[in-house]
Amino acid sequence: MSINYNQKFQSSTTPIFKNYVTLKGHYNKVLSISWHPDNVHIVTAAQDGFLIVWDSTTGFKKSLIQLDDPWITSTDISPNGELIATGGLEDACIVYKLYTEPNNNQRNSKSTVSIFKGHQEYISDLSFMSNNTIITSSGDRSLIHWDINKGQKTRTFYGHLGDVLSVSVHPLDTQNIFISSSSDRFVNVWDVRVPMKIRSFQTSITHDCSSLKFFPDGNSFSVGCDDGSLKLFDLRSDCQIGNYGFDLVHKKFGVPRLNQIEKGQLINSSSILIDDNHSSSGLISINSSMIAALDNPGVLSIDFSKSGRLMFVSYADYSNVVVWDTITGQIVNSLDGHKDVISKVQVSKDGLGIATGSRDSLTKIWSI
Amino acid sequence: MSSNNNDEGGDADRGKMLRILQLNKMKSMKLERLNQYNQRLKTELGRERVNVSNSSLLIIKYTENTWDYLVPVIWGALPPEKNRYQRGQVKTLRKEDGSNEGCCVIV
Repeated sequence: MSINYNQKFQSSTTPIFKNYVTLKGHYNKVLSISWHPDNVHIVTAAQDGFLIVWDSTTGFKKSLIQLDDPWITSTDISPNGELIATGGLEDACIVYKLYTEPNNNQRNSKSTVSIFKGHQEYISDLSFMSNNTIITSSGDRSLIHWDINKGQKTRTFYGHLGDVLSVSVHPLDTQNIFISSSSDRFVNVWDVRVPMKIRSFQTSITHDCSSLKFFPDGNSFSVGCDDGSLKLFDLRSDCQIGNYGFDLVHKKFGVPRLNQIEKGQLINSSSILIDDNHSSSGLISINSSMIAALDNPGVLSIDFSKSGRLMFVSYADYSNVVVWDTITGQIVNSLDGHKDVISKVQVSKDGLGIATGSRDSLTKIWSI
Repeated sequence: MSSNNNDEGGDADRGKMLRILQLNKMKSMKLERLNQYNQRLKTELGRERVNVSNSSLLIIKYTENTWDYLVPVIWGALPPEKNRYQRGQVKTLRKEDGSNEGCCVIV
């Protein structure tokens, strides 16, 4: 169903986003970014094996952590800003202490708080649920809820039939409710207190759902699939209520060239490059089933503006972020400037800063 | 001879019975699965739902009532004093002038 809504963006009132700061310093693809709860600092993790803490207003580096696992897939900062959790292809979720000010005593010694091992396969996504609990999703079809104080897992959630690719925690009831999307094409709703899923949504018939994000009021969520389709589901109505077609993106930005595969960039299903230079690009064909399994087209990252009116989406086929109007289902604008695919887009908690981390090793900060 | 014939006939009957039993088992399992599916659909039907039009209106209400400067059509332009990125650029210049504290130097 289409939402009829009168207050469309006119050409004079279209929000124009400016790139204020470009964070240069990584030597390889930026894979994950997270805003600090103070809305000023930002943490980027790249495939060069470093995690850098930046001041997003000045562009200065504040701190540096050398990662144990350079194949990072996701990072998240605790609500009190003291810890950072990282998950990667080495099946472990590692939690570090986070310093936003350069501290001479701590500069060279990273302080690991916890190493959580328990998943059988790669960790695709993770999120803090409170200051000392983390939920991780993994390629072993499960999600695990960890407690930092106890130093162990508190519950494993089984219910998906394929790799769990993304997890999003309820924005208001952060302690308990979360949703996960999987390559079995279902989105499941979970409650920490209940071992089984409490709701299940089929989001696509043919394609994996690679990324999802709760709407800021916590009653809806947006899910992106590998075919580039983007849908809005509602928990109150128990069904799909919005659709943001990939054909509109094609119309606006042109049909993408399938050069990702020609360049030999293999992308696995959780928006990370596995191999960049060593694959024999000449031999790879689009029809190869291995490439079909590894290469993830479609939606890589979704985030909402503070009110949820705008939705920032990065696609694997484009090097810009598409800004959707959630209500009217139209493309409002785009964030152009990166030279390569944007692996993660994040809006700060106060809604004023938008950060994009790209495979061209840069992170850019945008605002109105 | 006749007893042998009877035995063969009995074997055939037994095989037939077995096949029928197996078929029966399969059918009953299928029925059970369908009943479970039916039950699931019934509980899903019994769940209280909000009309899609209503939840859409609630979403619109939320977007209109939540302060968000990224949507100037509702909230007006962001006042420059609230834009920390413009302030940040001034700060950068000041830092280049004098003190180099507050930043780790990476060449």
